[in-house]
Amino acid sequence: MSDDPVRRQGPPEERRRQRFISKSSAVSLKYLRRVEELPHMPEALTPFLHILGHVFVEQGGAVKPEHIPTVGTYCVMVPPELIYAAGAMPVKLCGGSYTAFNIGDDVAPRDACPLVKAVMGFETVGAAPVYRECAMIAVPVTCDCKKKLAGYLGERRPTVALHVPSGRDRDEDMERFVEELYAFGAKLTELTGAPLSYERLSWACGLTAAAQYELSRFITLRRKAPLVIKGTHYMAAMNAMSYTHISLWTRHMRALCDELEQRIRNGEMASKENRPRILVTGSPIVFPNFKLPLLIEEMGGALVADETCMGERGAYDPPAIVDQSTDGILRALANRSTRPCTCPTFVDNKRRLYRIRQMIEDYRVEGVIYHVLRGCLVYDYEYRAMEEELGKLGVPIIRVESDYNEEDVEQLRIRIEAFVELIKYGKR
Amino acid sequence: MKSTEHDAFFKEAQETAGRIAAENGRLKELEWFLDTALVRFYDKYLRNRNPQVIVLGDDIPAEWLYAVCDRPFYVLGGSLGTAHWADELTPRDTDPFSRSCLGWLMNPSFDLTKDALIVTAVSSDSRRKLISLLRGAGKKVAALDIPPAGLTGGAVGCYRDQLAALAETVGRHTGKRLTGSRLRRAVRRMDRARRMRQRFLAAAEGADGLITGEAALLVGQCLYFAEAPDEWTAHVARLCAELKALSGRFAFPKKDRPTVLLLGSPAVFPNYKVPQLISAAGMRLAAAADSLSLEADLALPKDAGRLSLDRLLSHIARVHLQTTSTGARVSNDGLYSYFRYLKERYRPDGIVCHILKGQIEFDFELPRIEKAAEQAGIPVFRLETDYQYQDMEQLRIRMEAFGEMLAQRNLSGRSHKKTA
Repeated sequence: MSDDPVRRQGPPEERRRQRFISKSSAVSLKYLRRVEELPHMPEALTPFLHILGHVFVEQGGAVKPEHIPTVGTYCVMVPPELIYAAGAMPVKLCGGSYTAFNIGDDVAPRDACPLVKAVMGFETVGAAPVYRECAMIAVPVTCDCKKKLAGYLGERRPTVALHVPSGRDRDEDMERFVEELYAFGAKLTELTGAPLSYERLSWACGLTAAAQYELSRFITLRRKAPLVIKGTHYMAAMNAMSYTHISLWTRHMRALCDELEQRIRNGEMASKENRPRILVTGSPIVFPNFKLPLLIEEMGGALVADETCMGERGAYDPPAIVDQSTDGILRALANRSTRPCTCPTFVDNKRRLYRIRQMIEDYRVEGVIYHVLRGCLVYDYEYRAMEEELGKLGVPIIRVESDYNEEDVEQLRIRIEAFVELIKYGKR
Repeated sequence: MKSTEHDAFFKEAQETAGRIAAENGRLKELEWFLDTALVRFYDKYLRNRNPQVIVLGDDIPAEWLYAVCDRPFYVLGGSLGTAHWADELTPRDTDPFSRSCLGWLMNPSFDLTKDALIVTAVSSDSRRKLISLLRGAGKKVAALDIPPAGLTGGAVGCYRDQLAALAETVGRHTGKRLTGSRLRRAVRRMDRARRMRQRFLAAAEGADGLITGEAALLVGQCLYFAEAPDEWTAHVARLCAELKALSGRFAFPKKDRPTVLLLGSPAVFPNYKVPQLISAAGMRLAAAADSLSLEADLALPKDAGRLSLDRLLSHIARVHLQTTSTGARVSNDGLYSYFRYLKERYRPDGIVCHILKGQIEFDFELPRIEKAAEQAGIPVFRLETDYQYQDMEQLRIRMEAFGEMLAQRNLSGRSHKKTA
């Protein structure tokens, strides 16, 4: 072995990889600690943080039973039931890493969104096992960046691009998406050898239904005022879902709900009653990019609800199966993945306004923070309509544009502090 | 409406048209093309035009379109004035093409959409949100979803079915049902136009010094601005004859200028600042490899004029999916193959990749183009801009530097040849 320290580390590519791993782990650890240091953390949240730590700090793979292949997915339009039924496990690969973003910045066009840059960065470095171990990647074409990402990944990995129709109210649109799911199902069967039978699909629906049941308990608990769990803690639990086998996540969520119920009985709440209740909507907030939820809570706000695709959007609605057959389940999954979805990929997205109105009522929201990742144009387009709608309701809203770095934290802090004060002042 | 706003909108077009007219004074036939482009900016024309169908963008198959409607009004952006009108309706980072398109359709000066059905393809994020904004404002919009990947039976079938369904919607609005004979006739019309366009490009190439790059670009784009493609074809035939006659009568020395391909976002009338800069920097625009040129160049199989309606629709769907150069596809193979074809055809000295701010789909395609150009030893110059004119001087300096570099390369290439 060479004594030269530079040579010992191997070729430049390897050294670059090592640097990436250590820097990425350090950033993730920092954010994980900040999440842990927030007061009133339930003990049952620890397994979720362990999952995030395992994936992002220890650079381990997805948390799952052995010998199950993983299928990488993006957005909320890929039904996890299909993947579980095929004997694989979905892993949501939307990236939130600042380090990967910096690598991706050299690969992707300057104006691409940071989330896609982070994904491209992970792919370029090939370091994170959670990305590397995916046997297949499914990219729903929901925006221009995802469209081009599908092409980029397709040159490197087995990739399926799912055509998400831009409309969803006509039968033809739904038929088209059902066909896409059939084609995706065939690819999954090729991968695992397990055909998508009625039995397997209903078993998989059972798995997700159990998770949805626990999630609905959790949502009910979150609606309590004052808060029983901090918004950042909630987001950590929801983010962990992306990297865990659903049965394991359900078990952890059940324990968390049990603990929260006990806390309510003991009168132990996570925030004071007079804290401004804030909802976050817009571009997804993916771990470790937790600067926004942390800032909200550090500045005295109560993050009560999150209408982003890393929150409950993808897991909230169960499939309505009316026809007890393979085709019936596939149709129900296609329906569930598109019709109630509030993603701005759809031309007509009024239901996002209705959903936010409903959330404002359910969670007694006093202010909305509209998070726009730089370059995420589809969300930015919907801001105007949202501003008008919330103006009618008298709920203040601010648009916060951010990127995957820490340079803007202080500016964001000032804006959020001012927003929290504005709500407090308005209450008096 | 403030009259100054419409004045600025009209003046931009007038200035471009005036410049082209001054630089191509010998070509009498060019006047028709200038008038055709300019009339779209007259207040009176816009108030009285009242189109039945408005086509938003260049990604709707023209053969199909002319089979279901007459005199469609194409909205292809290009105007800074209309982009300004849409400033408040769109986010800051929206590309100028989308802003300008929206401004054409929603503005305080004229209303083209009163009785119109807007037909468009959902080919980008901005487009899907424009549809939403237009529908929200009470406009009638019929949209086509372009399958983003694959050329399998499923993708082609999906595209064909949508064309058929959209034809019904448009047909109900215009009273012109899609039939086999109408589609065949439209295919023949567009084929004639395509052949004439190729004839014109060859004539313009041979008549360097008689017609500028900007004028050639305008002639090509007038296919979309004209009331009917046949009218355009007839005028292009006359222009070709005029070019031939003038070339025979006068001996124009061919200027030894570097030639460039203009690639990426289309430069649409009146915003011709990039072709203008190319010419001002001492280069010659060989051809434009953009979506507008590619759409006008798409050829259906030779026997297309004899096929049944279903088979013809399938052919149109296949050809368009295979070669469409919009960012609608996961991989923009259409633009890439068109670029390769033009590279072989014109053997340019350089490539100017024009990217309108916010049109990242072209930026994603750039590495592939750069690689192919590098293999062929052709330098690529990426030029990012919008419809504003404030950056003209910076761009001019950059373009001049690029032009000088190309000229130097040509000179040193020639001296190497002599030495050998």
